[in-house]
Amino acid sequence: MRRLLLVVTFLLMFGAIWIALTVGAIKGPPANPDSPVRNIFYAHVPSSICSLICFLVLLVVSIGYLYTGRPVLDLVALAAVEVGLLFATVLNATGSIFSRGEWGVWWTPTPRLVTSAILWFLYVAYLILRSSLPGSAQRRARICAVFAIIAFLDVPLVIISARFIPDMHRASFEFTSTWQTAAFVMSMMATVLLAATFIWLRADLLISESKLQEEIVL
Amino acid sequence: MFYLCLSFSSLWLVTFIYMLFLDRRIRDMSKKLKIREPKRP
Repeated sequence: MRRLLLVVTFLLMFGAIWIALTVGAIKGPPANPDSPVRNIFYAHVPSSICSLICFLVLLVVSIGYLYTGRPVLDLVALAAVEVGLLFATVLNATGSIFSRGEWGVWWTPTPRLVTSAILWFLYVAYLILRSSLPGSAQRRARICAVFAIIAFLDVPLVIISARFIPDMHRASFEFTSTWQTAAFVMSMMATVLLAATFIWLRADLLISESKLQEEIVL
Repeated sequence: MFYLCLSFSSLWLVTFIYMLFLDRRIRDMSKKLKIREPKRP
């Protein structure tokens, strides 16, 4: 099943790359129409949505852990944070490159950019908290789950700042051809599937590692 | 643009192969752990 998911993701991503950078390529900014910088949109938007989805997964499994106390849910939460951090890094890095090419600055403190940066820092804070908390594994998992639920408050802020607060960041994008729409839909689907595969792989690895550690202790 | 496309495709291909390799290793490890698990009556 996972292998099938991997193959579908591979094909979708491969198709998205070729369509996005050939027939569906977006023209550069007026000052430099040949620049490929606007094509970063195909990676930036799916990464932002995936980093928010990972936060949603983290919220659900954290609530599940507090409710049931199953250690597996804590490991899935860790996997979601690691994958979310990866996508949040891609989101901020591609956003910075786009901003430099489009507006001439790497970063500027606007609501959208600040809330996205906070999202990245929250993921990092979760990992630091997890690795530095003393005490039993159950206590650490409980505190991290509570932190994850509180940290989720940033997600509506990111969405609200994107849609409703005036910013130099665009709220939406209009495609000029069907190829561009196709490339965007394919990259969106491929990135979501990639995030799901990453979480699955990482969670499986963490579960196997914890089983192995239990055996060593016994 | 063609070279950009080619480099992204190559990068993606390498990532995909690495993920397949990782998937195989995790699968093998889970199998071994399952075999070693003590059987409950």
